[in-house]
Amino acid sequence: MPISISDFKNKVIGKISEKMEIKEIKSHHVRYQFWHKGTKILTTFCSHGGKGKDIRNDILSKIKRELKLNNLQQLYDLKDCPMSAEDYFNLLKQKNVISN
Amino acid sequence: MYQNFPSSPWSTIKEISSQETFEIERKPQYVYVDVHGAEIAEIKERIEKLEKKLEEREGQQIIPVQFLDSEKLELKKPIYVSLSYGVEDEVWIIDCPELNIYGSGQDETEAVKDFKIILEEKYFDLKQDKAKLGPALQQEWSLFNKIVKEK
Repeated sequence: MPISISDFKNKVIGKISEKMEIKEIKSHHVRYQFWHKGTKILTTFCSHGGKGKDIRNDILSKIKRELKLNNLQQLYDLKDCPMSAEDYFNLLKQKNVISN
Repeated sequence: MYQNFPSSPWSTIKEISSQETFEIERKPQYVYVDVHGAEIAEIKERIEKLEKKLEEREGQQIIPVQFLDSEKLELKKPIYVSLSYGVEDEVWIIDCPELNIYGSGQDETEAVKDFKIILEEKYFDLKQDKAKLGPALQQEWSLFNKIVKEK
C-alpha cells in the first residue's frame, strides 16, 4: 500500500512534529531532521514529487528503517491514526533513540 | 459411504451415533468435519508470502561501490551494498543498512548515482551537528568515519 508524498509530509511528519522539532531541508531530496531537546535523533529523506505522487513500497520499507519503526504497518498507523505522536515517541524511547 | 469423503489428513471423520439421528437408521452415519480448513488457508497464504520474498532475494546482488563521484569526499575502502530491482514498483534500489542509507533510480546507474549523492549529503548532515547527535546517529557517524574521508 503506497503512501503519497503529500501524506508522508502532512500526516506522518506532521504528526511526529507534535512531539518533536522537525527541520526540513531541501536538497537533492527533501531531508527531515528530528530534534528533541537540542539533540538530533533521526534523519530521513523523501524524494521531491508532485502532488499525488506515491512513495513506492520498496522505498517505504527504507523509510520505516530510518524512522526506527518495527514494521510497515506502524508507518501506515502513523499516517492513518492508530499510532499517536506520543506512541511513536515512546517507541523511540524504548529503542534508546531518545535518551531517557 | 466412508469412501465418498475426502481423504485429507487434516480433516476428521466423525461417526454420528444412532441416538443423534433419532434412531431413524441403525447404520452409523458419517459427517465430514473440516477442522483445519482455516489453518490450511493461513499456511497457504504464508507460503505465498515467503515465495514472493524468495523471488525478491533471488533478484538481489551484492556489489562494491569503489569510489564516490564527489569533489569533497572519498572512500577509504570500497563498501558493499545490495542492488535489487522491485518488480512491482519498477525501481532499482541500492541499499546500505549499516549506514542507514539507500538510493533509487529507474536503472542501476541512476540508483548508484542517487546513492552516492545521499551518502555525501548524510555525511555532511551528521558532521554539521556531530556534537549534538543522539545515540543512533552517533553510531552512524562513527561508521561513516571508518569508510569516508574528506579530500
